[in-house]
Amino acid sequence: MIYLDYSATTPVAPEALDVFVEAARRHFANPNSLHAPGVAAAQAVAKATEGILTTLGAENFEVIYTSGATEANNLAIKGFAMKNRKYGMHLITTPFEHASVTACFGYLQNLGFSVDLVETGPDGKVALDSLEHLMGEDTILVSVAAVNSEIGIVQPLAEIAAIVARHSHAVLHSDVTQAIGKMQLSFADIDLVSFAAHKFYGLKGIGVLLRRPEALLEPVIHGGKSTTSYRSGTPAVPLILSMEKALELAVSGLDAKIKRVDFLNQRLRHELSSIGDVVVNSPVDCVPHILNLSVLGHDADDMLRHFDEHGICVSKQSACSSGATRSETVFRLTGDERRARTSIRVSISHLTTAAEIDLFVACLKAGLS
Amino acid sequence: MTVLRFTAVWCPSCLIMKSRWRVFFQLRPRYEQVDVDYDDDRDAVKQYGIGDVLPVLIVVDGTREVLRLVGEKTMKEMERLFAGIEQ
Repeated sequence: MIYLDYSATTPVAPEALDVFVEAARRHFANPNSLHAPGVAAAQAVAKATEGILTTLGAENFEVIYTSGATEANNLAIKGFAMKNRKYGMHLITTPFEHASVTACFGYLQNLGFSVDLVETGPDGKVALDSLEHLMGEDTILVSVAAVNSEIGIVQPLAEIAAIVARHSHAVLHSDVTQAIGKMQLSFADIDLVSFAAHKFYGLKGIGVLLRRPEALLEPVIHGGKSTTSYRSGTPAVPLILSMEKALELAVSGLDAKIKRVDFLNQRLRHELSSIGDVVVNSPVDCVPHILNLSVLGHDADDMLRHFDEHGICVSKQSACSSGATRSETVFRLTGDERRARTSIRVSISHLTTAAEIDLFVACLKAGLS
Repeated sequence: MTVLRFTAVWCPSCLIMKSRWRVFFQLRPRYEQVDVDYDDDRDAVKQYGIGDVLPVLIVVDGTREVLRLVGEKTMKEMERLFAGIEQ
């Protein structure tokens, strides 16, 4: 099998899996219990939490553990909007968000919140003057993903944060799910940050919402106080400890990993440039881990089946497309209906080899012939 | 006349158009507006042959469809298209 779908999910790192298994054996007690095993489990969670914050350089945040990025996004957006609506009911996001972000805005819009989508440039980046124009006295929340999941667009978070910070009641939320382990990150002036472990070689079922103390939330899941009053439920100790290990590994030697992935991306772009019916949709300054391309004249589903038959795993995304093939994201970026209906996403990692890239290209050419 | 508005919460174009529709139909109170959720009301989606681009706005006069707008439209485009059925 040639796996080129690392943005959908990653294989778990053996070290992270070992931590999970060991913690499941050793810390089965409920960390909310007051007996010795419970206290030991709580201490293990506290240590892992400290490790996560240190690794991310996010010491001023509270860690709220969730089931994944979708829940973290829901808690950040719905939780903040509902808690702070007395200050205003205007929300801003971009057209390039994950469905778990967009759907929260759709839900809030149906409840009476006013939602604006900021304009973006030809490279998909937020138009800063448009954001400045949209920000108002009643704006309470801006949500911008650090990296788009389908095309790999990198947003100028620092500049966006500077604009949002000038408005007293507004906070900035960023879904960094596709950015961790793919680029160096700074959370300066970002108030709420969400991500999931399985995108950086951790296990599925665990995610995080980082919250600055001043960003108050209304819980989405109600119950007793757990590690936080914002999210009830028995803490998933083995998953939390395992995520800390996965995160530590993901950021270790990051520059070298990025360099390697960039090399593979360039190789792939070079090979694709000689194939007539193929156009690359990802702008050159995207994260190198994601390369979106269109095989003109070939339905995306047919191409996916072709690759799958040859043991190659790639994907497509069709957010906001009621059918199975049209990519709203690609259409919005390129304005080209043909490209939108024939796009596939290749997502690579430092584990990908040059030989795998070459086999993908050979398989693509075979599919065209 | 009745306006059927097919949208989904996860659709960015729907977010944009719902804001525009709010302003647009404030000036056109004669239209009865009915929201149809793309995910919840699959029978209506099938009945009206909603394709793979959202949102979809359908104007119905009695049982007759007189206008269908698919995807994002500017205010000017909507004004022009509605002028065609309001003559």
